[in-house]
Amino acid sequence: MNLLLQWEILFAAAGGVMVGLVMGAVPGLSDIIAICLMVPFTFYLNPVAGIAMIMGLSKGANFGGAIPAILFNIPGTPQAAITAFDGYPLSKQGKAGKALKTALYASCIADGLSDCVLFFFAAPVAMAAIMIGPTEHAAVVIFALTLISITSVSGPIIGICSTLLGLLLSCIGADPLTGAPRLAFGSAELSAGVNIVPMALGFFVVSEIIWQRCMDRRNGLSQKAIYTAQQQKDEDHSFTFAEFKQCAPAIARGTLIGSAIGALPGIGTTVGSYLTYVATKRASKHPEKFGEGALEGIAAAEAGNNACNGPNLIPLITLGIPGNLAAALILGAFTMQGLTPGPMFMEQQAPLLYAIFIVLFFSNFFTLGFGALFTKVMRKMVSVPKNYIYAAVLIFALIGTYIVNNNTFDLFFTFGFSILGVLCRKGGIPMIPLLIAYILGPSLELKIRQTMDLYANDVTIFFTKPISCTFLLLSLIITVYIIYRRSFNVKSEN
Amino acid sequence: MTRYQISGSMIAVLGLSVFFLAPYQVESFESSVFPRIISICLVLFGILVILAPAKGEKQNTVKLFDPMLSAYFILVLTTIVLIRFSGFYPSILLSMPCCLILFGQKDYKKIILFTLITTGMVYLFIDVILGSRLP
Repeated sequence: MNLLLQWEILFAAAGGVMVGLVMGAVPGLSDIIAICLMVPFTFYLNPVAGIAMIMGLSKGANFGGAIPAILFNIPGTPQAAITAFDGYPLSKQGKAGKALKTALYASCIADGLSDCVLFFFAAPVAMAAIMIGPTEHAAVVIFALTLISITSVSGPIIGICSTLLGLLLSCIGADPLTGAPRLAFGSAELSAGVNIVPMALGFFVVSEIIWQRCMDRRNGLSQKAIYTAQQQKDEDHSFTFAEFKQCAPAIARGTLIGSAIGALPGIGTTVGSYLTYVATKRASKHPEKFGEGALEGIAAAEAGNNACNGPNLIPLITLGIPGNLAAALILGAFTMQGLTPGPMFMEQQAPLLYAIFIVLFFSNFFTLGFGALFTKVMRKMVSVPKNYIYAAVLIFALIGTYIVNNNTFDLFFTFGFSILGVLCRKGGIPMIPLLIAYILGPSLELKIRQTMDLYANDVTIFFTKPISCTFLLLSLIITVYIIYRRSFNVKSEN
Repeated sequence: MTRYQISGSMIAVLGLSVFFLAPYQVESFESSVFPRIISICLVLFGILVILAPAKGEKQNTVKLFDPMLSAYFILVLTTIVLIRFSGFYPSILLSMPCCLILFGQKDYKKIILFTLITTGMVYLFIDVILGSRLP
């Protein structure tokens, strides 16, 4: 308790949440950039305060990214892209306030519950985590990618194509095992691979701006018409208890799925968000409303996304393996303080760790408070003519691309991915499976090749190990079932 | 052809290209296995997309060349080239007005005012508050 009752810790957590909210809400300044820029400040704080600040940044940015996703269909962070599926249509109906409140409450509740998961289950999960080797990890990634591909709105086959495209793009750069350049065409910049930030900014932000402008022109909407339409909406920013009860199952689902995904290193919050969305849509009595402004869709996406925050620390604390960027920087913060996360860490530093867990839980109240104030301010942005917002966001996206590596060449990657983003929209290729496959591709290839090296290229090891076999069989069963159901539905309609 | 069939064709062609290019762009055989497997799968699924009936998809002529789309991309590319050669601030001062005019804004006073405000905000937020110097 002595560790907790220090103003430094509370200020660090509150400051982290505030900065994270702002950075996450500006497309181009994502949570990754926020964390990278603020980490030097954490080195002057005590371990609990430093980690509270980094986790506050991550929590704030995770919710902050949903704000432009809902208001403008431009996600502030890659994981907020799923929130836009229902958030933006609801915002266009004049219910931006309702959508933002749904996202805020779902985020805070799921995040808080997942912090409880971290508090109570870190130790037993650590025991189970030791059983997961490269074979099991590869099988889990294949399962996640299969699920994401075949549940795509455009259809399972085009979804699988999108996933394969993402895996192919992830091959560009360095071989994950040997580090040798691959598919770089002799370019030194391509040899290092493409960072996720320029890719996501080009794919989701720049291409979205260009696409929206083209759609407005194609639909013959004049600037005056667009501006008038923006002003005439009656704002419905209430979020009733009945609506909360409607969203509660989605939030619970998101907490469970997000916590499970967060506890696995390298899977990422975007997967948690998408899987929760898909699961909630399937369980809903009105799945046809998803994509049209369903509150459960927003709640599911945000809950799945934010519930990954706390459990992301489990592989770091228990095995010393950071599961994402925030965890990697926390590892740096621990190391600077002379602490070494790993299997003995929980035993040796239990008071410190549980103090961190409690601060994480209370940070959600900061997110709730600051988030409520911030969304009130951001809602006013809807009244600003969209073209000014687009132009400013475009500039910030280019700035954000540069800041990651201080390299102006990355701007060309953003440009290239913006062309790819527009081509995907024109060609009906879903973008989320591509993004997730791009993130998971290097990890998948590394684990498969490690398995092959460990077991003398024996492919059957994937089916002889029980956990691995279970996930691969599940992937196959779900794929066959979904394709059969879709074919049956097509035949019934014919 | 529907848009899915065009997408499927392009995916299959991409897969074939990577399959034949991979050995020349990769130093070792082990490094080329994963990209080649992915490219084979792309070819197979690209063909499946061409052959499979897409639900609700009508015969559609996809407009591959759109002048306005090209204009937007040229604007972004020009901005990036300007940033490479002259830095962020001159580029923002030049490209922001062009961007707003291309987006259909006609009030030149508001355009100039917005450009100056955005440039100031970028300097304040990025250089002063975050301490990250832009070229």
